[in-house]
Amino acid sequence: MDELLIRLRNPHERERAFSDMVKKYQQSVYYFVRRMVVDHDDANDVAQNVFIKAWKGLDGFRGDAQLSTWLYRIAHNESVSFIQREQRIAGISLDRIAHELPSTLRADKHYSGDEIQMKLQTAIALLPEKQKAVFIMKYYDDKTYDEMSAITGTSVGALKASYHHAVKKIEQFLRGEE
Amino acid sequence: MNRFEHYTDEDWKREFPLLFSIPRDDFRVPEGYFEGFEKQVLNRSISDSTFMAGGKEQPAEDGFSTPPDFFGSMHDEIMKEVARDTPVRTISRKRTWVYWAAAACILGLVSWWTLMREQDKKCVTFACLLEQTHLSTEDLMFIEETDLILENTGELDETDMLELSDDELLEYLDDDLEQLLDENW
Repeated sequence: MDELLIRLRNPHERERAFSDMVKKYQQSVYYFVRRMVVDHDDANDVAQNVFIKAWKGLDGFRGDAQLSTWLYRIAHNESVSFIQREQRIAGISLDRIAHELPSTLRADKHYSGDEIQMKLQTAIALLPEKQKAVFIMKYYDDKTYDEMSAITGTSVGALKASYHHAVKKIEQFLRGEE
Repeated sequence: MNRFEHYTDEDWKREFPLLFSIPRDDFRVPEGYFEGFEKQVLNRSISDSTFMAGGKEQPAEDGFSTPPDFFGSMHDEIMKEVARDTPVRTISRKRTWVYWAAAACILGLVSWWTLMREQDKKCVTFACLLEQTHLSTEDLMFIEETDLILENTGELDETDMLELSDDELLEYLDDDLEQLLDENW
């Protein structure tokens, strides 16, 4: 069992172990969430929620998956929920979000991408949430299909198909063929 | 089985060269963000009040639970509120005339509405009768008494009938009744 998880299970070490867990995984969780929700402030809120939910759910975590996989699962669920909630509240279509994204990114002081990187972000924004998550985990975080399967609860075959579709769609968008 | 199932990184790069040539370093964070992130999370965990008692709420025998150390800090919290010089907001009695005026207006409106309804019920003109019974003058042509009226008045048309006053109508009926009594009795 993960040494950190053993410490998290020990009531005397729990708080210190939690603090170590945040330090260890904060960047990977934050960047995954950030690529999903794009805006830094939103990503900050969602990433904090991920760790707070992890803290509250520690007793329910049986340890049959790796700690990082479990955190990613929470991050994936939180990000997808956040995006769906935002779209529902704002009532804005996916097309409109993607259309307005380049100007949003240009105005974002925490974004330094060039034109092709902005175009890539627009193409990602046009993907359905779950396909977007699969693409981000594989393309940016180099997760294996088995890990992604444990995170999303989707079969490896479906994930491979999903990633291939996402890559194909994005390449076509980048080439202006969509 | 699809060919892409066993794709290596090189295969992806070869098939989708544009996508896999894009640098992946476009998102930035404010300076020192990750140094302060852990503290932010811990602060929120503490303010969620489940952190200090190891994430467990304190259960009670009757099924209701309280946040960790709720009763331990309750006394201090109450004393803090008591000590705080909070201005007391009083409701002015000077404004009671507003409520009386509003009540009078409502009473007036209800009375007026009731009066109007009563007046509507008392409407006994021929035009009102037609309106209340939803009968047209054509319907009335089939009523025996109406036939009598129309035969005797001769040149009365729809407009004339609607313009008949109560007195004119009663006077006519009295005449007609006398004539009938003379002829038949």
